[in-house]
Amino acid sequence: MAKKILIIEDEEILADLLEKKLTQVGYEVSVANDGVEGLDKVKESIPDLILLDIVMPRMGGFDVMRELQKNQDFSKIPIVIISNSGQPVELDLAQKLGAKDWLIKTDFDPQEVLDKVVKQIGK
Amino acid sequence: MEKNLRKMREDRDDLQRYVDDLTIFLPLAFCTVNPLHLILGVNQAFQDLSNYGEMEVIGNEMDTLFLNKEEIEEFKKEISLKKERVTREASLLVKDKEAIPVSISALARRDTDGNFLGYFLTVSDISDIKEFQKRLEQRVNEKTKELADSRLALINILEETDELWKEAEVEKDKTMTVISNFIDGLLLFNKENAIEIINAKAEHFLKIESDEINGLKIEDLVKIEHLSPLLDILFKSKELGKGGEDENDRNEVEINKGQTLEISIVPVITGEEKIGTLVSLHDISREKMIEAMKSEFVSIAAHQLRTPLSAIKWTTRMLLDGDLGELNEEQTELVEKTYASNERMVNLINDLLNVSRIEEGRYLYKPELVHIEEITNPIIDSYKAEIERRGLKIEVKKPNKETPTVVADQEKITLVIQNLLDNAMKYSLKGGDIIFTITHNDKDNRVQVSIKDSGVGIPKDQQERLFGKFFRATNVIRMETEGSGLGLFISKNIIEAHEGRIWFDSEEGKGSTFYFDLPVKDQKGFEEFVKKL
Repeated sequence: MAKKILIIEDEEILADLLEKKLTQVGYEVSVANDGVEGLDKVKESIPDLILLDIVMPRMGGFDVMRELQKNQDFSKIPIVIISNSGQPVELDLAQKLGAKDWLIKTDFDPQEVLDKVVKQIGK
Repeated sequence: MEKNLRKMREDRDDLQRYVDDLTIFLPLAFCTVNPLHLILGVNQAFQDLSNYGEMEVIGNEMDTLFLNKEEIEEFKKEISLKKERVTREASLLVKDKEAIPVSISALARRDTDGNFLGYFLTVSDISDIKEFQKRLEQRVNEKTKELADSRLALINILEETDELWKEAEVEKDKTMTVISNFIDGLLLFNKENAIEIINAKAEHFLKIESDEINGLKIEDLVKIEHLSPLLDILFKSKELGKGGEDENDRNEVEINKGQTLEISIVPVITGEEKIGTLVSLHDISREKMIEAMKSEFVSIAAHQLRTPLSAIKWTTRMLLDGDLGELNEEQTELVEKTYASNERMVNLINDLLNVSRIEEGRYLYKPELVHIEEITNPIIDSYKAEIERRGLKIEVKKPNKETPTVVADQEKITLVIQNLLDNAMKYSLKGGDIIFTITHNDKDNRVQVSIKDSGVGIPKDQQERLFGKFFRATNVIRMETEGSGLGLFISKNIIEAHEGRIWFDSEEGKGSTFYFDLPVKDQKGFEEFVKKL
């Protein structure tokens, strides 16, 4: 069965591109455009990995992680942050909240994002 | 009877002779004068003194001998009236010479019935005494004058001192006014490190009254709790504390919420002697706020810019990777160029972000104890393909044994090496060599990395500005449009934050070598380094 990946990203084009890239290699991908929608999607069906943006309307990435931490089942989902920013304080916080990796969007290609995903959960 | 009378006469004459003889030999000048003040006789001493012969004066009136007749007239009256000796001073007229000062004494002679019979007059030369007296007086006068002069001088000195003192007071007042109204807070400690002066601004900053802390020693200030952030700095300083390692005696401290002071500690020295320490408190809250705002602006702007750039990057990349269908040759070429342009923009923004973080001072994020090779090896590997593509060669020289550990924020040191390699590559001509060298310098115990190229070099007149912000050499602007002019500025800041040094050799047309070194550190050195951050 295909592994399930949830992309929580408010920038539509980036979400689309990632969805395309990941679907191509056989992952089952769903997209949420903000944190609230993302949490709903998690509750619907627990993904194998979440690609999470930080700055989003309604609910940001850090709050999503805090919410996930509260639930035993959700807290184990590996999270890879995809963000525009990479301030040391943010990295620290993300690590504390259980993020597995942190990617700065401009520094990575979709292919490299894919590689990170594969590294976390396999094909 | 007759016989007796004769005998008496003889006796009287004998006595007269005796008296005469005696008076002749008497050293004191002496005259006998009758009641009418006519001179009856003078002795030898008198003749010697007055230069007159006996015959020249006998029969003359006594007062002819003296200069000031009026006084002598009074003297004469006094003699006839008084029973005791009368003395006064007079001027004796000496024959053919100037009058001399004399003291004259006279004793009236009376018979048994008290009738005035004349008198004896003695004249003694007091010119020596007078002279002495005169000299004495002169001396006294001189001394008096001297004294008067000294007194005057003293008064003058006192007046001058008073004036100087007043001037000094005025100066002191001025200085104190300047100190009290100075825009910065000032604390003056004396030689014993006790507070001597605290100005109004410092009182305001420290929320304290001068009466509360004047005269207090620095150790006593500990009692005032809210001063502790300031005291921490003072204790660490070379001037006031036990520290001394801290060469840069400027520090920032957030003394109140939202209020940051820059503390400068300088010795007050007159001549060679240190007489105290001046601590100045400069309010940099506004600068801090502007700096923070600027930094935040750059962060947000960069963040906002990154989103569209990511979209372009990802789209073009996927187009090029064929994820969205095959492109023809022309399309591929155009999309490749778009991708490259976009990458330049990404790099520029990354550089701007780095600079803004350098300026915020929160730059070294993850210092670790590493062998430099752990950082350089992967970078060199990742550059090999690009170097080859550009028609260049790279040679790596390093000791067989791994170099000792240094403290490094891997990400930041990677950035430096990438910057230097990028430059070496960009500014080399086809066929050029890049020599990458790692050495361990035993002497000052540092690990050194150098990157030598055979490129265009840096014009001599521009070498000084090389590590400045937005510097780009004129000869490279022409050949390569890429480059923000921030790479070396960032590199220098990174290396210096690691207690390292960065420098270069360059000759235009022949190439450049860039060097940096980092101090070797063990676990203990690492811990000390981290503590200082």
